[in-house]
Order: sequence, then structure tokens, then C-alpha cells
Amino acid sequence: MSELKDEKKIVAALKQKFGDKLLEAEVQQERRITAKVADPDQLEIIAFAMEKWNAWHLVAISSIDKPDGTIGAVYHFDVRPPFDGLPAITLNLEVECANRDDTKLTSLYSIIPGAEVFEREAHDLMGINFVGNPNLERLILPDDFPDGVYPLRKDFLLEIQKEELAKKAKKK
Amino acid sequence: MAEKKKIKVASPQTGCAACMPNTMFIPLGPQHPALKEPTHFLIEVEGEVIVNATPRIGYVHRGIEKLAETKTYSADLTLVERVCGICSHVHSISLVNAAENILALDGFEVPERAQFIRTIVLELERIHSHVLWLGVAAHEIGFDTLFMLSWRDRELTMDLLEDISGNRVNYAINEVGGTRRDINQQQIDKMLKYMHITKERMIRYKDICLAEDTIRLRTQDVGILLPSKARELCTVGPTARSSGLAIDVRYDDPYSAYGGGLRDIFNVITFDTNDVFSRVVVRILETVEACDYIIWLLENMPDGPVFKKAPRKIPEARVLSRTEAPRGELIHYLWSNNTNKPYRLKITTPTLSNIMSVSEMMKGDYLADSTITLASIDPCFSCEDRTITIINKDRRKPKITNMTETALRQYSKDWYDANKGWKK
Repeated sequence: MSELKDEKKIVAALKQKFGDKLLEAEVQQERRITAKVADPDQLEIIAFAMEKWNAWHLVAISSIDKPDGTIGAVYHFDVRPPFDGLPAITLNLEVECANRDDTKLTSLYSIIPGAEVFEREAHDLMGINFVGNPNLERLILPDDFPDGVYPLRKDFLLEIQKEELAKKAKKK
Repeated sequence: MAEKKKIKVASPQTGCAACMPNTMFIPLGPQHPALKEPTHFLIEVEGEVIVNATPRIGYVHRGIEKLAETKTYSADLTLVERVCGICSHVHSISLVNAAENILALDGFEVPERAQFIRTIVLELERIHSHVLWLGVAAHEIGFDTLFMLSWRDRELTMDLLEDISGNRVNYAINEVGGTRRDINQQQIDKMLKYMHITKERMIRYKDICLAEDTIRLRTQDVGILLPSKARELCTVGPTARSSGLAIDVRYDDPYSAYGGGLRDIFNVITFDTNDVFSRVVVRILETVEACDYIIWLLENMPDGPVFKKAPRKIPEARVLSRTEAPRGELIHYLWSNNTNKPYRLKITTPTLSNIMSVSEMMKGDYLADSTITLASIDPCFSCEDRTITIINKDRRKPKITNMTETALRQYSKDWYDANKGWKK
């Protein structure tokens, strides 16, 4: 295991630039940094990384439904892209929505147009409303799927999960 | 650098061009002329030229991410292998890496020999996927000789995969903590022999593709994706590399056995003509490289165990696992919660990242080229198993027989003779 020098440098630079805006930031393991910000700040962080480290590669956007009931998104992108044979360093940037009913987040479309599909996927399956995405239409689920039902949320139960819950209730 | 080609469009004979729309919409798919899988593209054409293309996916969405939350890690490995028929191994590697990364925080180490075997299977999978794609692409442009020859050569790799894992499609060779099977000296010798043959053939195909007009005329200047656009649209894998972007997770974020000595001999293949031709060349060169990597891995294979028992419960953590599938970068984002089931598993496949770039590639091209442009990001369909089921007519009981190639050929001959061809 290396000493994680580069990773620590990046975290320090981010902390210096953003200060209190950065709610959490730490080196998770080799080549992985995790951070957390409040809603519109993710654009600033990505823009800053684009300028400072020439970051250009958005890897994916994951949608999450946390155990405490908040919905959020995690932006995975190469904060330092690979150069001169050095490996890439990936930042997992977490952003939370206000609450389960008001799931607004600012879209990345203005900076990275390729984020469109990732956002549409998260909108379809987790119900995150990305403000600023020009065509936030259905991408994966069928057009006649009921509105307001989001399959990846924890309150959407599969048959197999319902059976398990019923079994547990019986035991009690 | 190649510029997007400009095609002059003849103005319509009737009507005023300013007040009348001269475009029309053509739906391409879900049942598709190019792919064996359902995808829908709504193509807007002006005469023969494509102005815009809108993708619509999700026809084979099976809810695997949700289902994975209800199963144990061991069962999830079986499940995620079924995400894709061609790149099945890379999905299980990705999940296994995520789980092992979490365990590694507590000091768990996977035996090195297991990592080598996994990487060999990964590279074999890449060879079979790329050669399969070469055949499909050749078929799309009407060059069926290359299609048949390349698929004949792919059988060598398929035989090796069957030899190592017992299966041709879903290899089921991974387990959290190592691999389920070891490889012996006899298999190593066979692999070395076959890899040298495959490499020789692939170099020949490279020479053919660089010189043969049949391929060049249909692929050059078709489906252009400029590097700036490829960056903006988050393109990954061979599609990005053929637009000159040097990204390859195997080199940029090493996993399995890519991190050690293999990284020193690793080449990130790029090509800069940005068209379909570029994608053909990149994939063929990558196949040649993959043969070299397998030979290196076989020659430097360490001794030792291939499996170490891992705890069933994975401690709470959230990790991102990146792997390079044959089609591009594959993401598994695993959130574990100290039970034997994942709390959340997010899978992002390379085709999702690449689908927007197809629309960009199609713009300005002729409608007839849309099939090869779409196929150029690599379509994906399952190949068949060699087990056949014969239903006994009298008892209606299935009788499953495993047949060798010779026996299968003999069976087909006998069946044909007995039934006098297809007409009884």
C-alpha cells in the first residue's frame, strides 16, 4: 500500500478551496476519495477539478436511498485523470436531496452534456428531479409505467421481499 | 484530424424550404436490422441524410439491481453474470472486487494465483468478444467471408474457456475470496499453443483490414465522433480510444493482476481517424495485445492456493469498483451494511455511456450506414450452449444429453437422413 500522497494532496486542495461548503472529505482507499456537499455546490467542485486537474471523465451517477430515508445521488468522476503513466484518482461526490417528496438536484448538463443519460436513468428508477436537464423523459421504464412509482426506492417491495417480511412478522 | 463530412442535400422540388419541414422520421427498432437485441432509435432524415437520432432503451430491463438486494453475495455473483451474455465474467469480477475491496480494509487478501486465473479469463473473454464483433461488423457491411473466418477462429478461444471453466457462456469461476477452479499444466500448454495461433490470425486480419477495399470503402469517414465530442458525451472503452482518448481502466485504475508486472508491458491502444474504421483497427489491435497479456500471465503464473475462505458478512462501506469490459468501462457501486446481502448495488454498463455518442455519430451520415455505425459501439447477444435437449416423444420426459462436437455432427447427419431433409 502506498502512502496515498496524491490522494491526500487533492483532499487538502479541495478543503482549502471550499472550506465549509465541503461537508465531508476523506481518502477512502487507494485511488478513491469520498466527499459530500449540499446541492448546487457539486457543479462548482466539478468545474474546479476541470480547471485545476483537467478532469473531464464523468464515470457515472449512482442514485441512492439511504437507511434514514433521504434520497441522494453520488457523482463518480476522475478528479485527476490519468497522465504520464500515473493512475486516475476517482472522487465519489455525494449530494442529498431535501426530502423524499422534494427531490430536486441541479443538473450537470450545462457542464457535461453526457450526464444526460445517467440523470435520466436516476430520474426513472429513483425519482430524482434534475433541474436543468432539457429532456428528462423516460429512458428505461415503459411509457405506461405509473407516475410516482420508483422501483429502486426502498419502499417499493418485490414479491419476494413481501414474503420475507410476512415470514418475519409471523415469527414475532 | 478528420472533419465531419459535409453532404450537400438537394432541396425539395416542391414547396418552400423555409415554411415546410423537409424532414421525416423513421423508427429503427426495437426489432432491429443491425442488432439481435431490442433497441429503438427514432431517426430524423432529410432525404437520405440523417439529421438527428434519438435513442430509447430499456426493452430488456429485468430489474437486476433491485433483485440483487434480496440475494446473498454468493447468489448475486450468479445473478450479475446474467446481466450480459458476452461479457459475463467481467460483471462477476467487478462485484467480487467491490466486496474484496471492503474486506481488504480489514486485511483480507486474495491469493495471487486466483487473480492471475481471473485475469486470464478476462482477457480470453475480451478476445472472444472482439472477434465476435469483428464478425458481426463484417456481416453488416456485407463481407461475409471475414465473418465466417473470424468466427471459426473464435472457436479456439471458446474451447479454451470451456476447458478452464466448463462453460461457454457464464463461466461461474469467481467466488468472494478466489476462484472455484485451478488450471493445470496441460491446460497451460494448450492455452499457449492456441494463443500463438490466435495472435497469428489476428495479425493477418489486421493486414487484411488495413489493405482491403471492401472494408475501407464502407467504414472510412462513416460514423465520425470527434475527440471533443467523445469527451463531452462521456464515451468509454474502444469507442473512446478510437477517437484518440487514451482511457483504459486496466491501465488507469489497475485491478486483479493488471497492477503488477503486466502494467509495465501494457499498451493503451488508440487510433485517431475517429470513424468506424478506427473502431475496427482498435479492436483488432487490442485482441493482438490480449494474446500477449495471456502469454505473459501464463509464463509468470505464481504457485499457491486459488481460494481463501472469506467471511459471509461484508462490513459496512460504500465502494466503487471499476473494470474494463470488452465494450468499455463497467461500474459496480456497492453499498454493504454488515449483512450477507448488499444494501444497494448500482451497475452502470458501457453501452449506457456510449448510447449518446451513437446519435452524434449518425448525424450527417447516410441512412444506409446507420446499421454499421450502431454496430460499431459493439452489439451484444448470447451465444448458444452446446447441450441439447431431446424430448422423448412417447413419455414427454426431457432427456438431457451432453454431446461432443463429433457426436453432435453425427446426430445432425442421422437426423437429416432419417427425415429426408426438412420435408418429411
